[in-house]
Amino acid sequence: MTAPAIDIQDLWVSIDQTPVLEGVHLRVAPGDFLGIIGPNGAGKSILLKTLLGRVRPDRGSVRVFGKPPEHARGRVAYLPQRPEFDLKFPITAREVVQMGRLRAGRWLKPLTPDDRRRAEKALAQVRMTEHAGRQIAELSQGQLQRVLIARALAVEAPLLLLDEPTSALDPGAGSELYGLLEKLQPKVTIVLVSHEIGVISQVVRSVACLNRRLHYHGSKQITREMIEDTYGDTVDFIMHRHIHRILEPPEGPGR
Amino acid sequence: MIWEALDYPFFQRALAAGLLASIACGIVGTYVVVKRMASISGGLSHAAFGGVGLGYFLGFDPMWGAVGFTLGTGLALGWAARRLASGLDTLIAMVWSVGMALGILLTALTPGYAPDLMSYLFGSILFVPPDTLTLTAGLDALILLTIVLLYKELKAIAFDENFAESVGLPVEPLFLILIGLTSLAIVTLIRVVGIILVIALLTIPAAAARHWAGSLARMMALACGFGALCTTAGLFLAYGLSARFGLNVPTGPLIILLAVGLYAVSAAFRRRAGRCCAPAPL
Repeated sequence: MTAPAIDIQDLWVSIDQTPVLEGVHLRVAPGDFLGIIGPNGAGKSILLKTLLGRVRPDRGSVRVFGKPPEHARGRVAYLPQRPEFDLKFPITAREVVQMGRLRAGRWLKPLTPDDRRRAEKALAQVRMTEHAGRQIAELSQGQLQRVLIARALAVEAPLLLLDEPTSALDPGAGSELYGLLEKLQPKVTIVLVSHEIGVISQVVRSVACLNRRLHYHGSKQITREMIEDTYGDTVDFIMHRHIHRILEPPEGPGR
Repeated sequence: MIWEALDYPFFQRALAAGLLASIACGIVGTYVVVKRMASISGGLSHAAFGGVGLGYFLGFDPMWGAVGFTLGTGLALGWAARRLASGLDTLIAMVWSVGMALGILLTALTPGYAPDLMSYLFGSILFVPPDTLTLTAGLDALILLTIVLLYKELKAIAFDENFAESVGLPVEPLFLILIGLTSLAIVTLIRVVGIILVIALLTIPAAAARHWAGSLARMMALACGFGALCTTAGLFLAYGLSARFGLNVPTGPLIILLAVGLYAVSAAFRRRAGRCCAPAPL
């Protein structure tokens, strides 16, 4: 039996003594497409960082493909919510995407023609080939976001963690990205964090609600209880705007 | 004519020292600027004085003392920097002053007079001994070799450590290598401009180069060129002032002021050209 892509047992995380995640259980099968929704400050980004081994849990176990996160590096590609680098760094979009091809233990060797080909393919997938030679400082926010998506794609990792990938994109580019992600399925397991409940519920295969505690039943169905627990007072607003789209019966027609 | 200076062996050595140091400071300075390690580098350059004092006290070449001490302090500081959640600037300030304190104390404890203490603090490019040239050339070779071998990895951690870590690159060892290279570059600059001014020559040519370079490699090449220009021009200017007007001006500060002038001119032209980026902050 293959190990689950993600296996989190009773995870507790706090940042500066403030609890951020409490008793999270999450099991994601290979090939799944999981959307995690929740309000600001719910711990969504922290959950992803825990999967990357960048945040240490207080308690509980985290396994990525059956291994601790530190040993799963290179098998996980991550798109941060905001760029974590200096935008004035002297580097072209193409060079950034090529960084997705770097691996440990390939010291002293230049990128192979194959690596370059794969980087070009990733650039083409986000339609940035035309701008590949430009400095990142010259790109618009949306173009930069597409470059970062291409960098994550260029890793060709079996697990893709995306933190609010569409927040800087216009609606057209956003749905283009979702189309692209669907094409990667089911070869790639995808975890997508967002607060756009309505949109992601149309593309993901299962949804989890997070607000320190995680509600997840391994399906796309969201109960009123999950929403209430996750969004608290704002529930009526959320329900009004989105719930008709996601509270569909489990036996209802698939997307 | 001012070119007659080239006939003097001391001037030839000074020129060589300036050019050799420019290579180190251009390459390493580029990383210092893009990875924002200026304050760590400032701390390390002053810590080097502790090594100079140690050399005097124990009776070996103070330059070797500076190499060992700066490298050791650099690695310790780099190790701590990755583990401290906050307060790195305070630690740097401590390293900065402890290095100076140790240097002063150890030189004072050394019997006899330490004649060229000032030359370490303010540089004495006109009196560079031949073995310092050999040391500088060796350090240059080491820095160049490391950069050639690890260019894309070091670029990756300078650009985005988090991403580099996520694909499995050994970020901490690479960072320590970078700190180690910075320590070595600092040593090559000590004789040229002195401990107190090292940080300027490490950052200013690279910061000016960033106005014009679209890649890290080009920024390095340009920073080496700018550094070479400033040290050479500074040397000739000092020689000219002394030969023509009988003014004895220390070379180190001249080099730094020329570098700042170059930066200002570069920033002004950059703004007029206005192609991609706003002038880089220092």
